Amino acid sequence: MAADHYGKLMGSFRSVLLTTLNPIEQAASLPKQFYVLVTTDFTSMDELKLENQKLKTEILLLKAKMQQYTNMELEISRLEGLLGTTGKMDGQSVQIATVTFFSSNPLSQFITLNKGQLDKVAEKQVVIDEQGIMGQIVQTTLTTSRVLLITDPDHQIPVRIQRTGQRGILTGTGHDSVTLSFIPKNSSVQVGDLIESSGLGDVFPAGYPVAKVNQINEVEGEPYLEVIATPVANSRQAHKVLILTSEKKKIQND
Amino acid sequence: MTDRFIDLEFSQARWLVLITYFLGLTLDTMMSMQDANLLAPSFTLMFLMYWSAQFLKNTHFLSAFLLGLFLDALYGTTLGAHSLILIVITFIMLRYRLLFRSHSVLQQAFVIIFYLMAYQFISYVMFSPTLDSDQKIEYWLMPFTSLIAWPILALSLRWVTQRLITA
Repeated sequence: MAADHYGKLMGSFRSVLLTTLNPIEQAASLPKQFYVLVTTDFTSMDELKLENQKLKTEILLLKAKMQQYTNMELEISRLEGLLGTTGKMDGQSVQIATVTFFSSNPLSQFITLNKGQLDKVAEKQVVIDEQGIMGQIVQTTLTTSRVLLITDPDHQIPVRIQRTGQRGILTGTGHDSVTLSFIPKNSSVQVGDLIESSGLGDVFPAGYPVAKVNQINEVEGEPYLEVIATPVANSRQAHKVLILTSEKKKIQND
Repeated sequence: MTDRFIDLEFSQARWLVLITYFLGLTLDTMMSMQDANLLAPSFTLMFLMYWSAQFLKNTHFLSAFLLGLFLDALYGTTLGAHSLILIVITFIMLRYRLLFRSHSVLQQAFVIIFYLMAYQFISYVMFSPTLDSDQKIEYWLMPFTSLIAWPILALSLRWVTQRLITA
C-alpha cells in the first residue's frame, strides 16, 4: 500500500491487474451492449454502422481542428496585446480511440480506451472529445488505457478563463461538475464564461475548452470566490475520443 | 440429516469457487458502471463470505488478498486497501463461521448485514467517497439489500454444490 501510494512503484503490477480485469470489464459491458443491439433496428445495420463510424470519425477530427483554430485566434489577439510576448501553442498530433468502459462511482470516475502501450499511448497524455478536454491517461496496459476524468475528485488541471485570462485550478467534485479555485473576489468572472486549459505544468496543452461557469458564490470570510462549472466534454455519451500527443514529446519518444 | 451442512473439500469445488469469484467481480464491475447502483451489495465479498463458511480447512486469506487487489484495480484505489478490508472481514468470519453455518439462511442474511456494514464503514473511513445526500442514504442502506441477495446466493450455491457432490 505504501509503495503504491507514496512511490507509485506498483505501476507495472497494476497494469497486470488491469489486463486481467479486461475480460471482466468486457463481460460486465455485455448486457448493456446486448440491450442496445436488440433495441436497434436490424435493417442494413452493418452499412449504417460503417457509415456512421466514418462520419463520426470525420466530425471528431474536424471539430478538434476547429477548437484549435478558434483558440489560436483568441491566443493571437491576446499575444498581440502583450506586444510580442511569446506563448505559442504546441503542435499536437491526435490518435482516435474508442471508449470501452465507463465507470462513475463514489470512489473514482474514469473511462477505459481500446488503445494501449502497443499503440504508443503513455501516461499523462491528454484525452479530448469534440467539445473539449475529458481527462488524462493515468494507467496503461498493452492494449488498453485508463483515463481519469476531470470530474474525479483526485484530478486537478491548471486553467484560465477564456474571456479575461484569469488563471486558476479546476478540481473535480465526483458529481459531474468541477470547481474553479483561486479566483479572487475582485475578479470579473461571469456565469457562462468558458474555462480553457492554461498550459501551465506542461501536461495539458494550452487553449482547449474544459468547462463552463454555471454558479458563482461569494463565501464570507474567504478571499476567493466559489466557482462551480460544468465540463464541456460529454464524458457520459462519448464513444470516440482523441488522444493528444504533443509533437515535442513525440520527437523525444522517437 | 439436514442439507445445510455440506462436507466438501476445496479441491472438489475449485472451479466453482473460481467461477463464482469471477461472477462476483463481474457483477461488482457492472454496478460500478454508468450511474453506479449504490444499493447493490458487494457480490465479491458475499461470495467470499459464503466460501469461507463452507470450507473449514482453509483460511481464505489468499483469496481475500487477491480479490482485494482486483477490486483496487477496478476502483482505482491504492493497491492493497481493499485487500486489507477483505482480510479483516474474512478474519471475523473465520472466528464465527461454525456458528454462522448453524444458522438458517435468513438468520445468515441478518449476520451478513453486519459484515457488509463493516465493509461500508471501513471503506468510508479509508476512501472518503464523494456522496451527495441521496447517495449517502443509498450507501448506508446497501448492507440491508443482503436480506434479499444472500438467500438467493446461498440457496443457489448450496444447490449447485450438492449437484457437484452427487455427480
